[in-house]
Amino acid sequence: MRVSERPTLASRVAVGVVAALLAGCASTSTTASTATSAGSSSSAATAATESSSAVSESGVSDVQILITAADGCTATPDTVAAGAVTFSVRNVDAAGVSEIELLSDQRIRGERENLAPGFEATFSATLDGGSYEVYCPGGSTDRRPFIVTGQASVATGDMAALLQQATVDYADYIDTQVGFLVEAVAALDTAITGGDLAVAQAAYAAARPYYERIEPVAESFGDLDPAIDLRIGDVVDLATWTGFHPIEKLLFEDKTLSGAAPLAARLIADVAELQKRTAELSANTRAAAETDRYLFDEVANGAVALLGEVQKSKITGEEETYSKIDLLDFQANVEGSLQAFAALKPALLQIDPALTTDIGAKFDAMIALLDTHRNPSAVGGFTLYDDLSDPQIKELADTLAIVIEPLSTVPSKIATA
Amino acid sequence: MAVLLALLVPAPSQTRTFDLAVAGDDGVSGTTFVEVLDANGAELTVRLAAGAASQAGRFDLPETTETTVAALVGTDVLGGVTSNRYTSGASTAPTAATGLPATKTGAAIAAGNGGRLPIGLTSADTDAELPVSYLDSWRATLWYEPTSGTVLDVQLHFVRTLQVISSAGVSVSGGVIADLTTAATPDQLQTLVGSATNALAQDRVHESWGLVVPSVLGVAAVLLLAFAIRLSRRLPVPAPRPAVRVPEPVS
Repeated sequence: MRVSERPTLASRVAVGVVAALLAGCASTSTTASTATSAGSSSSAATAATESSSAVSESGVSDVQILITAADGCTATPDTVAAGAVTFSVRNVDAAGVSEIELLSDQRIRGERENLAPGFEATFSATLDGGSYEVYCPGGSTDRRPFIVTGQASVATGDMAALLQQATVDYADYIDTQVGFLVEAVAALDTAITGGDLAVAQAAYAAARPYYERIEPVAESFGDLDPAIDLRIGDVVDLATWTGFHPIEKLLFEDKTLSGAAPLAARLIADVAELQKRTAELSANTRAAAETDRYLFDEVANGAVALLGEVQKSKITGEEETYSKIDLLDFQANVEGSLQAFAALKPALLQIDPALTTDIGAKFDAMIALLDTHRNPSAVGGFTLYDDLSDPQIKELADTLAIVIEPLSTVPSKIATA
Repeated sequence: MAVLLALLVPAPSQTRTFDLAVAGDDGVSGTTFVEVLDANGAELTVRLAAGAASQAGRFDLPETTETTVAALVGTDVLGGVTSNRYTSGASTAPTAATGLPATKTGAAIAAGNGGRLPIGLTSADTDAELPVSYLDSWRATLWYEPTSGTVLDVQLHFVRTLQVISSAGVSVSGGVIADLTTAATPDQLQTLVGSATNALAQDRVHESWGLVVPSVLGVAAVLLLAFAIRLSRRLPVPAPRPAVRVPEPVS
């Protein structure tokens, strides 16, 4: 999610939304990472600068990441020792960048979003020795290597252990995204009750990716997905229509906040229920419980299902009928799929190394193509669906199909491993 | 000498069959038929057929009549007998299964998955009759005593996974609906270990004979040879025959 570089009303309200979101992000934590954010005051940035390249008394390495229009994202230092690392991020003036990720073999190990120029945030992660990447999509240099020295994690050769770890890693990812979703819908509610339509529109776009990344998990609960994400085409009774899309209709088609507050309140409740249920699944998964947990073949299903979502509704522009931010959802579905695949990667590398490498490369190509459609001045940070040409839509569909074809073979390979 | 060679040279591998009574979790009981076709140390070529069924009658373990090659992965001691451990595995393509439904509603699938639809299905699938098939996979672990050529135990791990075609036409794993392991019953294991122990004891007897008889025969041969030489030296040397003189012709 990004905001305009130009000092327009839209950019100002979007920055306001980002501030509200960041203020709500007091402490999101997962097994692998924690994240906190601050507003636009310079004190945190100063502190981050002073602690740059330092190792605190508790043994935590501190790294400062600056995002600039000229250089993209730069980590200082770019090499640390294995262990706990805290990243202090500041977007100095890169209007095209709104998020930062720390990647390890395509897996997100830590991230922060909604980083408009002037904003800063922190996240932390416990890292094993190895090669990582600092990734700030939309930056002039969007990927830079980051090295962690010391003991690398040793993958066990035991397939059962690898698959169990995959489910735990996926549970971590789901928990992180649902945590961000809880904060984002609260910010949407705040924006709606605040009475500013543009702020509410930006808040709507800011919240959508968190749901789209974990959509197959939400869908697995049966009753929650229709309550949260039912599109107009599937509505039987408009009086009972709830979730994101009636809010979208009000904000983007009717251009009113009237009637949105009750819907936002209900959305908060449904997302809270989603968080409760996913937390139970994750806890059972980490405890290696027999039932009511993520199964490894489900993780593979999730990877495929998310791209199926793209084919079914995003590539056709049916998902975001009123806001036209379908490419933002597209990118979120792809990221969610990639993270499910990345969780399975250590196991899949043992099952079929060539297939694993092939899928990884095709995901990279898909993401690279999506990055060419980033548009900081558009709501959601991507070109609106109606502004895409037919050849561009075809190119996106073709590239997606190239990923889906090998990825769809993963569930059966995993199930019979 | 033919007897001597038979004792010294190992017998060529022969097809041997074993019927094992097996038992497992979920009330599984039955028999496993194991046919050892060849054993070369690193690999064991076998044919397996499992006829075990759960008491709940939910399914039968599939018959695996194809020849499979199991790889040596280690050694274990079973009942005091050191045996080689081999593993092998295979999967079937998703197929309809006899006696099992060809369609299921999303709700029924969710009921078997802790009340939650498997990831990949949506609320639109809840009431829909979805085509289902069954993916069977199994892994066999065999303990084989190479000297006696005895299969001491066979552990079969069988997994049946439900495959669902969603309303959107996407193939989704519906989760594991059967995960069972069977192994030889303790009585069967005792019998087989006893059989192997006897075979090994017999083998040691054969081995002993294989050493004693040739040794005795060898010593005897040496003695005979020595005796023959000695005897030959004692025999009187025949006197040379007087030369026959040819009378000179009378001139």
